[in-house]
Amino acid sequence: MAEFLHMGGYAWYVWSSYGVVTGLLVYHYVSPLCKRRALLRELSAEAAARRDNGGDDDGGDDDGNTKTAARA
Amino acid sequence: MNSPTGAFFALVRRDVRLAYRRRGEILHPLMFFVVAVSLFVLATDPDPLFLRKIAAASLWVAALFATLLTLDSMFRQDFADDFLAQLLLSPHPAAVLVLAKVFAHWLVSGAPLLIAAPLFAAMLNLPWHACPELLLSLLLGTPAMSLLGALGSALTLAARHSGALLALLVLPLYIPILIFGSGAVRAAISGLDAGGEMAWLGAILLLALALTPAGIVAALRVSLH
Amino acid sequence: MSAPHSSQPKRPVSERTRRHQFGAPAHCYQFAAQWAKWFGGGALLLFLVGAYGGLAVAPADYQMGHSYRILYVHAPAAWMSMFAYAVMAAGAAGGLIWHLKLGDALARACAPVGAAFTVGALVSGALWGKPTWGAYWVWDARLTSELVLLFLFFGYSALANAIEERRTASSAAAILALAGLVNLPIIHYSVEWWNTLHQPASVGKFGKPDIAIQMLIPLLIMFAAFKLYFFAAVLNRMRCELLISERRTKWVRALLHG
Repeated sequence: MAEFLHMGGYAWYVWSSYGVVTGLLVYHYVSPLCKRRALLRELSAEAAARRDNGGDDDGGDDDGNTKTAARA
Repeated sequence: MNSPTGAFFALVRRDVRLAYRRRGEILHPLMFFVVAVSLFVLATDPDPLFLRKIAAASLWVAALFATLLTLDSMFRQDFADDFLAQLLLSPHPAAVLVLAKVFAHWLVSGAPLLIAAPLFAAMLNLPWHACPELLLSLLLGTPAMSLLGALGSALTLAARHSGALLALLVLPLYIPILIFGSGAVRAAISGLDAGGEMAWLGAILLLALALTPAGIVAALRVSLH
Repeated sequence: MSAPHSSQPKRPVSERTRRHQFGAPAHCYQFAAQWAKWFGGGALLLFLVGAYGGLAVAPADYQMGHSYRILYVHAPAAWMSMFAYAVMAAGAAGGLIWHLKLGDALARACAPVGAAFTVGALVSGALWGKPTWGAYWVWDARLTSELVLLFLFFGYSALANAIEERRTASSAAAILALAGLVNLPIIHYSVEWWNTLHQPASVGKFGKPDIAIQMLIPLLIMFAAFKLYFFAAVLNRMRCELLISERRTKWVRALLHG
């Protein structure tokens, strides 16, 4: 086991490169999951605030559709 | 201004005249070039033999940054006063008009460097016999940099802070031009044939001429939207 | 976010265009979650098997000793960084030419993942370079190209985030991605040409015909693991991008209430 960890004297190079790559991969898998949760919270809060403000909300009918039509 | 050619030259004349009227603008890249080359020398060893080694690199990097400096203003004013929107609505092919703007930019920013370059080459102890290669490489490289730079300039029009962003977008695209341009001069200094590098610079210029106008027009349309 | 109301007048849209326009993002948002889980699980499994094979089973290289084991993370990361750029450019083209919302979301999602692969390839390459060349960085042609690729990813992300209006930002960044795609082969060739003057033996250059089968199998497994991982990470990120760009649509509102 100790010999395996030693990597014939290249332990620092081998293990740190595996560590860095694995760390990057894990981070880029987990961070969007957290970001999505935060986004959902933010959007719900926004929606709630709009509802509390009363009827000036356009009720979700503006589905990005008007913009696309205007672009065309 | 009825034919596309007429429109092209009318637009070039207008842009050059505008730049000439704001006299500073035409001199800025040139003055920047002077300062940048001097800074290179001051940052290293003034030994003539060493200077000869870094001459190609410092001249080319200074030329590259001098071009970069003027990119942001290429469309900015016309964007602000709606001239650009009208230009794209004109009956002439938009690519021709965009090429005219780029050509005018090159006349104001790239061409003066060509005139000044031999002077600084002498200050950097560049051998006389390498001067034709220096001039030819700049003649082929600076228009290509103007074309690619115009693309970056058009893309960043809608961004609020474009200075560093523009450099970040454009500099990676300049790498081949820098490598072949500086390589041509280095080859010439050591008495080698620079034909291969020149061919590459020419090919890059032709490719940029063929492809970037469409990209610039698309980018301007996106930014104007 | 600051302007939740569109001032444009609403236009009647047929049911078919409606489905065509909002169907895809909403469906993608739902399906992406399941697919990401499967891809992610597969990637994890393959990664563990591949790493075990590469670190423990494969024999040491007769020239480079154990240091060559860095190959198993370096080569897939380098390969996937280029693959990510290609996918990003494809998504950008879809968004730009056919106005596909999924294309824009795909391109935006690829940029950070691709940049992560690039950084991974650069760091592992430098760590491999130290025992091989005696220095962490020697301006080797491949590593230099990889560095330029990182600049291109940075440029895309910077532009996509610098413009306030999201569709404008996506379209502008898409044009940049395509310009980079045309430029990449030229950059690659020029860097290689520049490097021939001073060529150190490139890291990761194996005697290709006589690579041992125990060495090759873990490498192939790692390639598969990285590819699955890429799809998982991009799908996860696409869900965020879709939520942001579709925040004012019916399906997102339904999602928030439901």
